[in-house]
Amino acid sequence: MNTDPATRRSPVETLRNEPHPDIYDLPNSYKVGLKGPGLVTWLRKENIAIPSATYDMILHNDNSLIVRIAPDEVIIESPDSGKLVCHINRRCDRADGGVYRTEQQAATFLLCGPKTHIVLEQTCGMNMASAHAEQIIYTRVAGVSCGIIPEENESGRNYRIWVDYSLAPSLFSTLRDICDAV
Amino acid sequence: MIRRLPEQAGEWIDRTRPIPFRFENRDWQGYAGDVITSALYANDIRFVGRSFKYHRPRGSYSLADHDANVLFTDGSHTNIRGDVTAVEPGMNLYAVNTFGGLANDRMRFVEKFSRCMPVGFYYKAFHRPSLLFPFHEIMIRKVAGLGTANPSLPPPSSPKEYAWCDLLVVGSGPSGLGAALAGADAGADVFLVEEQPQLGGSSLWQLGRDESIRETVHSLVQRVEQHPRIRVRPQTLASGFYSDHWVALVDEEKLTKLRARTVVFANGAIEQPVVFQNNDLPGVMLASAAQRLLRLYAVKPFDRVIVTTANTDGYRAAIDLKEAGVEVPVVVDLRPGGESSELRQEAEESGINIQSGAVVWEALPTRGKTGIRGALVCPLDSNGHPHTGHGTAVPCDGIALSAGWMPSTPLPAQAGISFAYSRELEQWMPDKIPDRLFLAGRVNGIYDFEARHLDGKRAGFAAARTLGMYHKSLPTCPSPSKKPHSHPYPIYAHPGKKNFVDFDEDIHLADLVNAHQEGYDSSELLKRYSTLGMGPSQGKLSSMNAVRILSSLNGTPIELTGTTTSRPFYTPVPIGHLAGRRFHPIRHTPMHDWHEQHRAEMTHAGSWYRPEYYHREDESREKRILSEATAVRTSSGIIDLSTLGKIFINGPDAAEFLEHIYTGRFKKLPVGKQRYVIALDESGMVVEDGIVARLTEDVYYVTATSSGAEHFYRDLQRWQIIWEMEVTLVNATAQYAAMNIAGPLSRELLAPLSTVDLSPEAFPYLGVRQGEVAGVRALLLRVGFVGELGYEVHVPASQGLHVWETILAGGRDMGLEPFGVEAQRLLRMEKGHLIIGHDTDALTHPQEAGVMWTLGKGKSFYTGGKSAEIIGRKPLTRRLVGLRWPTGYPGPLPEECNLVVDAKGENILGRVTSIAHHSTLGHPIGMGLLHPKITQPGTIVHIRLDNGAVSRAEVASLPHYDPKNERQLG
Repeated sequence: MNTDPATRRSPVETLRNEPHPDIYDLPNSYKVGLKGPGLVTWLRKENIAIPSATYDMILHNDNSLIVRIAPDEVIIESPDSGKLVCHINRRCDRADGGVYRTEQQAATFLLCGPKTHIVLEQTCGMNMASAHAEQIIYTRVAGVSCGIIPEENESGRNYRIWVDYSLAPSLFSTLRDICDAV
Repeated sequence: MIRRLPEQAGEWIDRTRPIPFRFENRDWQGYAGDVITSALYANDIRFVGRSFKYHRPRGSYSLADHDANVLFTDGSHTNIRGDVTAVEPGMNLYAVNTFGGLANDRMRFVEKFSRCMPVGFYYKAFHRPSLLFPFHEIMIRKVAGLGTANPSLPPPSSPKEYAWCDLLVVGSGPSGLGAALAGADAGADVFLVEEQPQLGGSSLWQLGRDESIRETVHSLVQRVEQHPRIRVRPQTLASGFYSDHWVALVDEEKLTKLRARTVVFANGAIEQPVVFQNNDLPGVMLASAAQRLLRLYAVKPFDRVIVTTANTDGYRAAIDLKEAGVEVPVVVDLRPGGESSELRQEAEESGINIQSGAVVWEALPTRGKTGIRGALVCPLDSNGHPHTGHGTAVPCDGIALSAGWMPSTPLPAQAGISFAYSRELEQWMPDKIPDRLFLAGRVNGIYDFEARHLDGKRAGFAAARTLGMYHKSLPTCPSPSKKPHSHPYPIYAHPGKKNFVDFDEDIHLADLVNAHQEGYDSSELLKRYSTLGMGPSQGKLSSMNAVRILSSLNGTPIELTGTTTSRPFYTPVPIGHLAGRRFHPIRHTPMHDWHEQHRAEMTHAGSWYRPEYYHREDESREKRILSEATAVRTSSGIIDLSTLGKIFINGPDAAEFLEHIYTGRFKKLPVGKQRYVIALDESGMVVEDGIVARLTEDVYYVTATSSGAEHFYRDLQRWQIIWEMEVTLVNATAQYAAMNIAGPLSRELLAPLSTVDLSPEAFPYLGVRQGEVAGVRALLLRVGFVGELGYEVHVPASQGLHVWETILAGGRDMGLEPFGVEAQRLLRMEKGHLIIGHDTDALTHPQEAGVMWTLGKGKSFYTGGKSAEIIGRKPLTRRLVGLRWPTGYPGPLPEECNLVVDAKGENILGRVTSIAHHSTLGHPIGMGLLHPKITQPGTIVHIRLDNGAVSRAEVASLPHYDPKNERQLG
């Protein structure tokens, strides 16, 4: 897989000309998926930890997120360098022992700041405030299916949103408009 | 503000902030904190609206939005509810439902013909002569309905909100405050909703003269407002209750969908009217309304009032009014024995005459009926009937009614709580209560302030206990009141027939009697026939009295008569609140911005936006489409295909799985090859098409139609579970950008950009290769959908734009042009390729669609195979064929879906499925599903156009273009 930033485009490139205080596009995150009955064995062989339960996530030592979205499927997101993703791409290019590499091009947004909960309460039927951190929640936000990972930090709770590349512009502009309105 | 009283404790108005406003073209003034009704009343404006049917003058009745008498418009918004809408500076209000203004309403004559409009008259009249019905319909529509929507206003953008809590408390009277504090103290996250702007409930106005109660309420409210676990929502109505404790909360701005783990209903009771002649005129109002005016808005409701009562509350109201300077000549008590509490003595000591066992039989109207000048008070006989011959006319400008209360049961009833009628208390009492629901206060028959508070605490702790937060024993449940607070039958017939039961719909006692005589003898039937309870207030003031009347007419007790079913919404809700913000997610391809920058006319394709064609100066749509198609035929074109469904089917059983799904065979499909496929549903109809490409031994790549891909993928998942095959499915639709470079020069322009050998020998038609294009890893498929040499290039979505721009830049010198979906439709039609769902419908099988060649011979099973085999044995009823018109055809051309008929135009023989008025072949072409007897090439068929004219077309064999496939094989 080519991870050359020069050839990659964020789906919301034209929408994020001016930085917004409440919603950020993270265009330099790289993702890859693995799926198949041989997933757990393959990851163990590669010395990569896997979350024990579906929807759990763990942080790899290069700060990559490993999220188990089904018993036989994970999505891995690596920040800027894409180290773990590159490793997976190299090692699992073709079907190998019942595990298959899946292309993952979802956009990643970060929803943060004091308006976060108001925005989610107006767009999502899940109670995000009481959701466990370090777990992914698949739900709909503003009518768009997406995965949400609550993240705790010193300033409060942020939400990492994974959304289908094709629906990313729609969701980004809707959330940005609501952030401005509330 | 001539009726405004001196400043008093507990009033809601802010006298330092006067609010100027207009009503019916005159200037008035209120204070901040006033609602519209109170501001008008303070200015002695008591006549504020007209009734729905008879246009009778009406005034404020409940001051609680429990009636439809005070609805206003400001020209932009309509049905502004005067009882609960704060008066604002600059408001310019008019009463709704008038023609020519409130005072001079041209429809006020209707009342004179009221005898011609008995209950259900609209079911019986206007039918003959039938020719006049449209005229009647227009007239009725013009005069019926309340308020007029302003269509020129932009649709309001109302946020819709989701919320969650452990405990929802509805109502903030002493019970609600007690429940909220108990629940929160036990550790629950509490949501408290109150329809009024301030917490405290009825105790604020009904018990306001008792300083100790005022202080207790104030203290409770302070504790609630400061409690970290209580969220308070004033001016919010719990208006609907749905499954799983999802409660619709409505405020001025929005609808909140609240999911509550437990609910305490402490929403009190609604004071009920007495039915007597002219009981609807301005000046007649509920005693609680008069007390609200007094205590909350410091407005003196009357100068001289008669209080009609059947409980202690009426005496309390009489004393309140007297203390406020209102002359109270008499309290008319419907009960033979009258009141026995200390309040009677207090009333008498203050100079109020008490007349027990009597009733106001008629309110005496002023000229024009815009108010009252007195009341005819009659003693009641031992059967409770008025001695009309012994009546006394008592001068007054107001009648305050306090004959009973109806617990606010609709919301609890929606939640599944059933109620039984208590003869002891003359009210509905809870019977069966589902888990995690609790009631407190008057709905339990508890009217005493302290007892209500204790009952609320009990309910709050009980709710906390079900949540596992409270483990001590519960406080003792207070006993219900020992005596009824409601009269069993406060209804008095009068020959004048203006003794109203339902004020919203102008339904009087005789209407219900007549409806009953016509056979409408159940609550549900009576409601539907008479429209009782179907107005804006949803029967809050009418349903209890209607049940009493029906019970009396049927001769059955109320508990057997029953009431109507309560359904959401309990109160009127703006449509915009229900709609909420408009979320219409649109899918964009990775090249979307490029298309817009290059003046593409975008069109919806399922949930996607796709370029229909690209604008050029001075070129029409038709010319552009033809020009784009011609470029593909003569040099090359590129189209964005990212919307195609893209699915990986991996695993040892992948080939077997595909053979089950599609009609074709795949086990022997070589790696690096692809084939066109169709899928059938279980009834043998064509539902999907696409290609299946074999990438490795156990990895297949499948494309599906843009609009059907998501549904198709769900079907694949379902079959995988049912068949228990070892396959791994991956929906990669949005993970890849895709584009088709088609045309005779496509190989030449793509070759320098690709690492794949594109020569015909190395990469033949229907081949599939993996390599790089523009430096990006890509999947290349040789296809021929548009009938030319062509390559589909699939790359990761984030790199799609880079590849698209690189290919366009590389092909610019060779005339490469982008083309849109319309040019593609034309090109594929020329080639005779069908589009599923366009050239087929839900009943098209493979034989009709002409795709029998895709069916694998001798396959033991595929989805829909058995059905297709059975259908195949039956005579064919239609077949997909080509249509053509001669070059320069002068006549009108059909549109898609126009019918093919026989020469006489009598029988339908098929329909046009696709049409192109201009083609690269120089003449119009089309496709159609026709009866087999007219499918021979050269047959002339007749197509009926939208305007009734007929177009003659010739049946043509498919494809129209390149029948030997030399172009796409090139």
